[in-house]
Amino acid sequence: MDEDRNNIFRDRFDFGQVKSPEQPGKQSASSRQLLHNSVLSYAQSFGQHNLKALAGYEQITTRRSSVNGIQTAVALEPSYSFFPTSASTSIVSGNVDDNGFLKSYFGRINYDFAGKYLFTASVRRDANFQKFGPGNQYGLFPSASVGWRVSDESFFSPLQVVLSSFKLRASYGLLGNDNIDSYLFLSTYDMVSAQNFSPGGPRNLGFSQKSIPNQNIRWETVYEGNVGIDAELLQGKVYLTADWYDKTTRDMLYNLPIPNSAGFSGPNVTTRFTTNIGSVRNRGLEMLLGYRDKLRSLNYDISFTGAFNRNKVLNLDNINENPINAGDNGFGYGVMSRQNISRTQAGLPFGQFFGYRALGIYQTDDEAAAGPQFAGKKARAGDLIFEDANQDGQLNADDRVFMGNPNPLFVYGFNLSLNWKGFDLQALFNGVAGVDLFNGVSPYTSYLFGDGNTSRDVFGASFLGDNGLTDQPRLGYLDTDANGNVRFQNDPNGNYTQVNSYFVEKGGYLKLKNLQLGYNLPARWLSFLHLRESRIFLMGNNLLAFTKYSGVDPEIGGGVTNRGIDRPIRYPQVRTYSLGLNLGF
Amino acid sequence: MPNMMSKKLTIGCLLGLLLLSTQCREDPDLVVKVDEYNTANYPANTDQLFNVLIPVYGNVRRNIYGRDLTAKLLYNLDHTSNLAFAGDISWIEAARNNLNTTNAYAADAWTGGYTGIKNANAFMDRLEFYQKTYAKPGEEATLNAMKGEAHFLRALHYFLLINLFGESYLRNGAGGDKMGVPIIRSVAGSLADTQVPRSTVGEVWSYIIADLEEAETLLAGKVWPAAERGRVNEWAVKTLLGKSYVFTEDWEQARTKLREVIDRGGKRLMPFPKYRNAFNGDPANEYNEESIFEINVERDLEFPTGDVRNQSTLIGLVIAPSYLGANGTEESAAALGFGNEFVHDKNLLRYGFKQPLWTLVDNPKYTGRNPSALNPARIIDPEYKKESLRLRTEKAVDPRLYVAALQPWVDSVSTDGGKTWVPVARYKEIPVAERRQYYGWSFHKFATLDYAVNGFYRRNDASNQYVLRLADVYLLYAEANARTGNDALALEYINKVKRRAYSYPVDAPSPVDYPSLTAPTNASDPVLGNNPLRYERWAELFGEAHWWFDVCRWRIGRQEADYYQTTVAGGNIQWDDNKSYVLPIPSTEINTNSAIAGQQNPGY
Repeated sequence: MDEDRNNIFRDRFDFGQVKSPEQPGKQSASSRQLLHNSVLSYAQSFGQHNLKALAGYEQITTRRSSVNGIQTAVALEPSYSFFPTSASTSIVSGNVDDNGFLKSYFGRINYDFAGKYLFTASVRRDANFQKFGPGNQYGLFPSASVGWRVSDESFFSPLQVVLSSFKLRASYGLLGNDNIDSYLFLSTYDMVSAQNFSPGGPRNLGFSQKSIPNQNIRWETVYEGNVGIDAELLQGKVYLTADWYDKTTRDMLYNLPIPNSAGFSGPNVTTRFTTNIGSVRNRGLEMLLGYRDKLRSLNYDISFTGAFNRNKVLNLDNINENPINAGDNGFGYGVMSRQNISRTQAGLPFGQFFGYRALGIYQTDDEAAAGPQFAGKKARAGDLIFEDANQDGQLNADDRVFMGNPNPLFVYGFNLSLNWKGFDLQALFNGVAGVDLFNGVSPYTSYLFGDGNTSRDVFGASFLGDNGLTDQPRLGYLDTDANGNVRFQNDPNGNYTQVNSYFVEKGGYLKLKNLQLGYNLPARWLSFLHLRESRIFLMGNNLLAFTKYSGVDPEIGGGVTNRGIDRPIRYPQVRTYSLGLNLGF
Repeated sequence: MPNMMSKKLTIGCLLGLLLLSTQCREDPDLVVKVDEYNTANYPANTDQLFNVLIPVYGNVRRNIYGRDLTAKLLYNLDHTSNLAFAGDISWIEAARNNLNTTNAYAADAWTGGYTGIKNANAFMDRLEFYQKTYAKPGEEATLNAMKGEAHFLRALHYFLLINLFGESYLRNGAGGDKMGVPIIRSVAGSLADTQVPRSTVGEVWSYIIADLEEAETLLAGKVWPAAERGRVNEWAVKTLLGKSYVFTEDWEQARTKLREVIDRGGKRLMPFPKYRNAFNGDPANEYNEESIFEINVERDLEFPTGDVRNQSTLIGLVIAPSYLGANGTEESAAALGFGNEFVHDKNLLRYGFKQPLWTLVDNPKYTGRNPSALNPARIIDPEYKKESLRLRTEKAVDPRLYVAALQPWVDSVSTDGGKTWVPVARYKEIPVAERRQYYGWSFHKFATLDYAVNGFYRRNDASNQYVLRLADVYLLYAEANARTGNDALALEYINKVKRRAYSYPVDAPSPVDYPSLTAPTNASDPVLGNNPLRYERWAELFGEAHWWFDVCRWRIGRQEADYYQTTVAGGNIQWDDNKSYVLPIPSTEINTNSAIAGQQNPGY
């Protein structure tokens, strides 16, 4: 059971013709979930053969109900109560949905021989009736894994001195994903407008189709294979884990933007069509290597993690191999508005930055005049030199190229842990290398936009005021119009308002994410204070960052197709310091 | 194996409790949403079917005539307005006639057009479903009429799209093979259905005309009751059909069809006093004797701006008039809304207003303290104002100027619902340092004059939008006659429109008649100066979203740009004959519609 209730009060106002009485509103939403879970489990050992088995059935039904109401011109002292007067109008809406229904059948077998040879196989069959339509509701997801503790074998004992523990593992399995909106397979009619046909005439509500149903939408399935080793050397002083994986996502679910000409978008709205687009593969290697030991009363543990990942879109066969354009630095005011920054295309990693390649800055007007131009624009000294990629002598949308990869080549970390008498120190570093970022904030801070908002970065622009040529493109130029007024012609070459590689930066960083220094009070003090334990600590998060990225924070996430785009409305990571005291009684 | 039985065999199911409250449910075949209409059973009656038609009308108001297409895009492309607000690149691009493929207002026009087309197609789909499933005998007439309305409205949306985005107009029988716009024949049922290339200009016009011919048949004889008088009737259809013939230069058919509207449509030009106040939300003047198709706009205090049920528009917000500010100076002027654009000064001249810029003098009635809009320290030179009023009353200036615009210091607006009226001021958005270089008249046509619309209920204009009215028909008919050698008839219909403006009987010769099709007009510029047909279309239909299309089909954009020259926010107009007549296909469409790849308009 889940209940959510709100009371809202809007007071009366009167600005002449525009006036409204007070208007309390109440909202209430509840959901009720019923879970049915039946599991049959079995465990048996036959000598050194150990067998466990499990089979089960689960069903989850969900019912939701909500109501929203407002009433105007309530009587008595304004309150959250609906207490009507004859001037009151009430607007009520609400809905109910009893359709939430999930079903799963599952089974698993674990077998091992003497704890040396391990085998697990499982299968589950899931159905979601609210998200997938007839014929597509069920998904079947088997998996299996094997393991071999090599170090437990008798032939291994001579090696034990060096390699105290050694295990080989491998697994392969399927995993389902239904993380999409409900009812995408249905065609519904929703209220979209109203119209009357004479002054003061009755308001007719208008209903229309708001999305394209996708009757074929089905489970996304991840096929994941993994081979790994776990090892300990020198009596556990050195520990090592390594995994190689291949994760292929088939029938990947994606909210694809559809053309405006389909008519499902309002102004400033891009309608999306959720569908299985194709397959993508992630392959990589993950490692953990650590060393722990003791130097007199100093205990230390230092470890290093590293992960290489390569992702590649294998195909977009369900959408005719059309590339997916996504990602923007949207904040309005026409700065790169309605332009996508990333493109996802079969054969390449996800979400590559896509735009005009800036080869540099024109040094002279003559050089600029000789370069390729956009129709209706004329480059001058201080403008970016855009590459005429298809070498047709002019610049247009066909000259856009892939200009950066926001998927990191390598993600790594260090973990340091020290203990000395009552003191302990922990430090966690992490970093990424081999990544590109699109600094989508820079076009706003280093350019003029909106009703005059800007930052001091503009002062570095070429030819602004007394500036000569700088390393920042010019903002525009002053032009005298027909009335003799001087007008600023903003960005005639599209330096700041077209997606281009000037804003692509290297995004590698190394950060000290966490540092903690603690002290545990000695036992004799504890007994004196009648405490079981006491620890005082000083901790800091996000203390240091080493990066060449010029923006606020290179740690930028994003969805699969729009990763690594810095946007004005993004909050940077916060740096926190904390001082703590733990007491145990 | 005896001990096996004693091994751990557990039943983890909380059988007793759970089986009482739940049971394993059968698989449902298809779940339906119970809180929304769905296509399996909707619509079940003609009222519900009508609800599916409503969004097509609603779209014309909200997404077409409601703001972006008219006040933001067309007003700037054709320089009805002078853009003073400098904070929006897309808007400035429109004012300069030099757009980019990412222009927000071109994209809004495209999106608005196709949303209406989808809504019409959704109606067609539901109509077919209804006819197959629930239709009862005796409903045919009702269904036919609604179908006719949908055909007309779909054609209206294509009419706007082809004229804005088509690579070329049809001129002298040429241009039909140029790129038009995608024709979306039904609601997309799959992703593949959304990938549609551009049809040719000729194909789109054939589609429009076919839709209108179908509507003409379906709506023949249909008369709506008074409360529904804003719905499409056959005369609206015939008018748009006749207009389409004019736009495609099919002069013979245009003459026939428009003549039919003139002779049999039962419309006549409204008298000037009504015309003077027919664009500002007075219900008494709406759906008047001249209106052929208009979209009802309602000052709506029930549902605020963001609610889809709101029945107003947002035009008033951007063309909001300026008035004298709190301390009674022009420098402190405020607006009844955002107030982004004002009537381009060059338009005053075209209407024949030739007074120089005014000077301010000390106000003899000033109380000496607490200056305010009603007690300004300095006022317009009284002699200047007197002369302005003389020009106005003696009709030395085209009377339609005062329908279009509000003169600073002479006209007034109210901020409090009409209780107090304060003088209009030079437009507040013009930079203060330059303000006195401009006349800075505010808009009157379609503006909200008696309260500020930038509050909570800002989508709150009351002015109906005229889509088709008889004056437009007269002038189209005149053009069709002029182009087929019937100069006398052409001249007569041009003169009818002018006579009304000067309050003469429409059908009798008057002292203000143009003697010929090349007689001088109020304007003295090369485009309108000796061309009564052009002048009358410009002056009569000012601000009603017609002039840009006339500029394009007559290809007078270069001359127009030379005339208007400059805008406050954008500086000089950057007209390019190879680009400016045609809007770009929006980048968002190019990015998502693979079938349209490589079909961008020339120049972009």
